[in-house]
Amino acid sequence: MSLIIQHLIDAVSAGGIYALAALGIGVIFGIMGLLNFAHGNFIMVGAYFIFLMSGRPMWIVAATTVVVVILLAISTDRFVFRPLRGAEAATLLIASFAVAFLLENIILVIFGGRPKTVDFGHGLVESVAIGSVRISQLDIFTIAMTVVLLIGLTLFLRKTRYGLEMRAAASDFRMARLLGIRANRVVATAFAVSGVLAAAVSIMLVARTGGVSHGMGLMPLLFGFLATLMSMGNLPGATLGGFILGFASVGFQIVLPHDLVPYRDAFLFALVVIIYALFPSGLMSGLRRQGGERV
Amino acid sequence: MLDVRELFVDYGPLHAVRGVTIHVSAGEIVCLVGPNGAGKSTTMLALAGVLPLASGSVELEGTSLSGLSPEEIVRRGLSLVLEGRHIFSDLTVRENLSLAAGVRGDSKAFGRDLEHVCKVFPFLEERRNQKGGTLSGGEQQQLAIARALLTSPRLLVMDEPALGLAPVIVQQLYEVLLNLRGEGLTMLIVEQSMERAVQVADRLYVMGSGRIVLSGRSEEIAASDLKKAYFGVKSELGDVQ
Repeated sequence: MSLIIQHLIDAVSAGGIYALAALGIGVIFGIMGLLNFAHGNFIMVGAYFIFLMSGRPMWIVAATTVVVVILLAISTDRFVFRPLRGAEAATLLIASFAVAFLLENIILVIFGGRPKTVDFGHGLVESVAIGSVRISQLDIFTIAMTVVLLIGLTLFLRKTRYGLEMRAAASDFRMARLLGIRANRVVATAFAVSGVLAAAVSIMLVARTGGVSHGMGLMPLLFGFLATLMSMGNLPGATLGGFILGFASVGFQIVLPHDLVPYRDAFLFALVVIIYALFPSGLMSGLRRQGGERV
Repeated sequence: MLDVRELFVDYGPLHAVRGVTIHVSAGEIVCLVGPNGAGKSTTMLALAGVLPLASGSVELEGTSLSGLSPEEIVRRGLSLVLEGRHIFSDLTVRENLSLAAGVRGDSKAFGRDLEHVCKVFPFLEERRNQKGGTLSGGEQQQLAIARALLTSPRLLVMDEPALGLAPVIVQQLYEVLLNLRGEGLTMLIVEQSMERAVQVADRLYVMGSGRIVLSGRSEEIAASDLKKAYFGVKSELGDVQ
């Protein structure tokens, strides 16, 4: 029983990271129709900033990382995507590739290609015993941060003017603009939210792995894309997609024969293909449509 | 109030609107009629800043709207209700309405206008917490108009507001629009039904193949000329195709 609970905690923990990565990609995709390939590099830059700040109190490092990644995300919009407003989706996609390559190469020039170890979150390595189950503080930290961010994002989207404008723009950007909602402000807000979520993933990954490398943004980017595409930009769907990937990832790790474990991600991608086939309009929209017709 | 002069709008190499000139005076209802593909909706989208002008000018009360973004144009007093209503289906009725508040600096004035539109369309208050996507087609159209009214427009532009609605709902809708005209609201309406356009409009413009082919006061245009322009255009379109 305790083993099952341990696996469930691992799944929620991994799913939380994927869900936050998916939400960071999904807020931009929902509004601009852009799969931002630079999102993984936002995560990587956040991680290297944590490396630079290592040794300082954890909360100061975390807070300044969030600020730095928000500024990076907003600057990317201001100087790369805003001049391309109204351009074809392919143009935006190529621009996001360019930003991703630029950021990665800047990091390579400054820090080199070798992974670095980071003194961050070492206080979280201990485990706490709850009955017969031992839970690592890292898992508790990851799950708590995920829950706080999901609740915070929900409150932001539901209770604030900016959130309302973002939801409207994600639903029908042209109509939102015809009601006077300023496109640049909505997109900049979306990039800021995306930056917060990328920074959160940076913090979690560095705390869990104790290191940084120039390729560390790739896996969260890939899983975030998969969850975003499963939801077609629908944010609750992206969250659900992230947790499905987290649970499937841990599940395959457990159930696959030892020889097939190295191919776990191939099984995950096959699962994603099946979900696409079952819900071609996106996870939550598919569930909603099956739940009941509109009047 | 609205002066559109020699408006050209292109889709790539295709000239969708070719030299359209429209004038709307304060307090008027002006209808733009014509068959499918005549360029009516393209003209509306260009007026609202959604599509760029290839050439020509658009002025509202003497202020040029040319080259402005949709969000700037709505702040200058031209509000467009798109064909197909475009309600935010996952937002509640109240949220749909409150989106228009961003255009207004004065929250008290917005509150007064909100009360007024809820009197004009009483179901809005009753269903304020209902998702927009769960409303009937007629209710969605009324919500779309109410939402546009809350931007405090000096000119309300509507693209086929009757499209897809039951005749009895259309009749009720136009009664509301005529009442709003009585309150001083100026309207430019795209309408496919010639009969309805003649009934409600002070003046008419007939479009075909991207051009204005007939215009004048509703009571002065002979029915035969109107039909000839409308259907003549249709045959001309057939030739083009």
